Amino acid sequence: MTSEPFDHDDAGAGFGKATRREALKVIGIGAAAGAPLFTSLLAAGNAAAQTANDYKALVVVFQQGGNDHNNLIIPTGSGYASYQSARPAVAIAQNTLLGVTPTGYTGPSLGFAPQLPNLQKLFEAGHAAVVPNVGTLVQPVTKAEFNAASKPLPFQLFSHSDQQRAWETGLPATDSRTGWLGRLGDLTSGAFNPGSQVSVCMSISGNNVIQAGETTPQFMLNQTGPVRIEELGGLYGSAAGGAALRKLLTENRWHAMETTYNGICARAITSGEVVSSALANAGPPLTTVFPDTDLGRSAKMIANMIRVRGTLGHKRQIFYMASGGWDVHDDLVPIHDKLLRDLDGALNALYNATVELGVANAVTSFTASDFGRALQTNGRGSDHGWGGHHFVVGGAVQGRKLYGSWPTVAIGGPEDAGQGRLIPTTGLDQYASTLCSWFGADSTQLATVLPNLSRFASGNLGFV
Amino acid sequence: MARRAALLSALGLSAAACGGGGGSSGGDTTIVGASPPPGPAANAPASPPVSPPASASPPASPPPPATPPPPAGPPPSLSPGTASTDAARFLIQATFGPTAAEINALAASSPAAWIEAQFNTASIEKHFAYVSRANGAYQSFAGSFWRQAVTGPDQLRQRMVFALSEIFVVSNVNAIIAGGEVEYASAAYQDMLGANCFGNFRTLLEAVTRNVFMGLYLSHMRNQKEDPATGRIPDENYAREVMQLFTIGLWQLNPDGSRRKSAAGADIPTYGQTEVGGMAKVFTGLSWGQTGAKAEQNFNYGPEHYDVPMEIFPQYVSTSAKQIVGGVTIPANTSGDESIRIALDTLFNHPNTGPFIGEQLIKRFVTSNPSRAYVGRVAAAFANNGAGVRGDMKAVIRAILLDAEARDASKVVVDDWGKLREPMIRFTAWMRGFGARSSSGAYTVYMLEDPVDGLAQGPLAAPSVFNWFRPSYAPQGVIAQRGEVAPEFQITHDTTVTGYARFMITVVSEGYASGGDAIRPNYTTELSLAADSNALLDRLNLLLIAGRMTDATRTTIKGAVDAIPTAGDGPTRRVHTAIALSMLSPEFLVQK
Repeated sequence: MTSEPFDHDDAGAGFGKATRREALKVIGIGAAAGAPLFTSLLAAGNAAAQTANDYKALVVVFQQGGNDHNNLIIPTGSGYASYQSARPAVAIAQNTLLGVTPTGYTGPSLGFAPQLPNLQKLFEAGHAAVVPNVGTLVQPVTKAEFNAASKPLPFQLFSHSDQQRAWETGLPATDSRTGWLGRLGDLTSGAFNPGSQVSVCMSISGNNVIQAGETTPQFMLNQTGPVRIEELGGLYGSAAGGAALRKLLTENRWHAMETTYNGICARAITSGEVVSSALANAGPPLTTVFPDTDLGRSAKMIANMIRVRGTLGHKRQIFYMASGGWDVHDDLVPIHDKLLRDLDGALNALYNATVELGVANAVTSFTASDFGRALQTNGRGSDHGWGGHHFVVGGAVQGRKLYGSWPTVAIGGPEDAGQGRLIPTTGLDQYASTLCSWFGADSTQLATVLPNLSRFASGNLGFV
Repeated sequence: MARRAALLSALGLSAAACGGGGGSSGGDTTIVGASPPPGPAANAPASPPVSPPASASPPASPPPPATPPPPAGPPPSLSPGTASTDAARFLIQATFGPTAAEINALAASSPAAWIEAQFNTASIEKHFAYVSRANGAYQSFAGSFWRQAVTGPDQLRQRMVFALSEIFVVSNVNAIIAGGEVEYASAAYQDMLGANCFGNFRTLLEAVTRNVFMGLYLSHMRNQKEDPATGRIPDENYAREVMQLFTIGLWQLNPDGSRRKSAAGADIPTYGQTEVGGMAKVFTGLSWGQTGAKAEQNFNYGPEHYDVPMEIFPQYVSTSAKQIVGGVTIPANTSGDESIRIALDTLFNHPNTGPFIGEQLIKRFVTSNPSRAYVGRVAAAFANNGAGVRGDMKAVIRAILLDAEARDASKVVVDDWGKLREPMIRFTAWMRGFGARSSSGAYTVYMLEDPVDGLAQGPLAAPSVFNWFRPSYAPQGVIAQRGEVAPEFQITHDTTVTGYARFMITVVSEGYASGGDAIRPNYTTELSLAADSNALLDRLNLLLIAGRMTDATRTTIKGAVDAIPTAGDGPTRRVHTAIALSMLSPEFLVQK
């Protein structure tokens, strides 16, 4: 036998052998199914999906490295002092904060970081919501239970790769090679995107776990669209060479890695031709201005893929874009400044584009990250934490609100797991299930997408 | 032998294959979505093995396959290797690519003798000297890297450095170091790995820890002791990653690299937050190494010597007691240097370190899915080189490359053996195999990490400390179904497979770069064989695929070559076609 155990510390995408079995329990058949039958059976069992003919898209913006949520949304007024004294070296001046006026909220007054003027406007206009202190949980846990180690906790808290994977899989204490958006794709693509040559899950930022389904692949785009191999039509002027190239790249092979490689090539060629053609025939460019930043360019590509959804045969789309560099152990203030500006600009432009395209109510963007960060600092930056704050943006969002409880911003507070690392008061499962419900997953499907959801009091936070 | 996914071929359905049995004693078989575990130490139910033989799957037709198809068809029959094919196979594992001359030389010698000779082969020059001569010009480190990879005689050292740079990751893509300084920093880091890669792991670990680039990358340079007055606590960045990535990993291991289990059957963490905090205090007080008189203010504003190890500045060192792994507590008031010594000794001597590092190195050189026994043999060499020395990296690389499993020629027909060749090594295989050289001597191979116009991989250019890929990444489909891994697939997707094809097709016919720095191949020998496609393919098969091109692929490529006339520019096009298709063939991409 030549096999290696799956490490918890590793970001693995692909097939969850056990997940598949669990999924099959849901649909009540005893053997695993290949893609077409699998999805069509699910569709047949789900009348809601069968009859749905609307369009919806989810866009995840992954902040790789762990966003310092402490410098994202800051208590003002009487709450500011404990924030400032907990991290004097990196605290944002109170008079620069962008005040917000959430409705139905009774906690300390709050301000957004000064780099978020557009998110402030979207929030105040009711198109953006905040989910504070959300994080990976096996089940709800209090500080006393955490300190006593009396409740199960996510594997390897505070480790980048493990916590990023936990955010992506929604399964913080079990092994899974599939992500919750991938599983959502499994359950919706057959019903909503029948016959499409392009996967429901599309990534602008490379392979990831969150979009890895049982059967759903990730289609990878770069920021200007798919890359095509023109030589398939003729290699060095020879049609025979082009045909040979296509055969070598796409034929089934006897070796596991060879056939995996060729499977990717076959999909890349087929889907790439469809997408390239759709984008080439999309008409005049969008008038929305996108920032010329990494995230801005990714957001622009997503907007264009939303635009050509009809040509792609998509009534459901799930997009992934990521930005790196959030692991601010050092130089927190200048690095975070740029990252937040880029995030603010990209989310705003994407929202504006959905307005331009007339689908603002059909596209919901949300942030995700490895973890929040410790409130206490090393004088230059901050360390890995746990719970953090996240944004949800879109026309369907019930905005200008906080969903979940605002934590005490102080060392030693009731949510402090040590050094100001927040014990989450809202589970990732709840955050994710709210998004998945909006996307069209029913309660049965949610149990497959988020198997631990029943451990939480509410499966729908109501923000969208 | 490989497990096969069970296939319900009549329905075109595949059942889930359940890995984790057999030799993979560390396999995780936790059921996703099962009822709430009783705790972190949940005793996962085991999955029953399912291992009927596979049958052929139906061909994929649009819409595109959701997952890669299972392996189709029987493996090629195993023909007896020759001294030349065995030599080429070894050189594919151990170098940046075989040359015809080296294949001939090794065929008349032995891998063991070759390795010993490589231990004593010097590099062309230090990268730092090259970069200094270029005054830190843009991408001068990359220029030095490619020059040495292509032309340097110390191939094993360079491959070892490359492998180590994917474990002890620093990266120049994150703008941690501004402008031309990063060229010096990169060169110094590469030289440091080169100077230590055939030495002792303990020395290597110290050198990595005190390297300036690493200190800046994982932010332990200028890390300060705790200060209760301001609430400042030491940075945990290096403390965490030196354990998680560089030495012991997250879970306690058996000597064969499988996970140790608690009495309840659960994995056992190697450390917790307490130990991370203790380690963070260890790595305080380090800053720029001094070449002249040492001054305390140099902690913050030291003269920037990228090739000088960091030094301790005592007033910034945490003086409190430090609890680290293995139940070790460094007493209060231990000096900074002594704290680091104790901490690194503890990591070096931890039972995890041999199997943890050994398994990753096997994956960089030989195969993605080594047997537990193979890992165990490499770990044993790490533990004792035969003369009672722990951490002898010469013994480790010998154990990796000379292991019976690595040298067993029958592995070439095992359907999960081998590894996806890394993109950089595919490119060097072409440069070395066909004598591609820069006429100016400058290798302006820049920004190769770009996934569209490059190869999604470049020297010291990984996206994060987690490298381009993790050692246990498994792509969707049959590999993951089997519970196996293929790390290089983490950067293998729609963009990069098409990007590689475009890149290679262009490079084969036009070379790389232009003008005086153009890197052009020497196809003299291939052109002399252009009219005889069989002879041409024999040569490419040996150089690129160690003689293991399947008959089917050979027929495909031969047909394309023979369709091109032999007159006019035909010979050149025939050679280009044969080389490009060989380098895009599955046999080339997956080294056995």
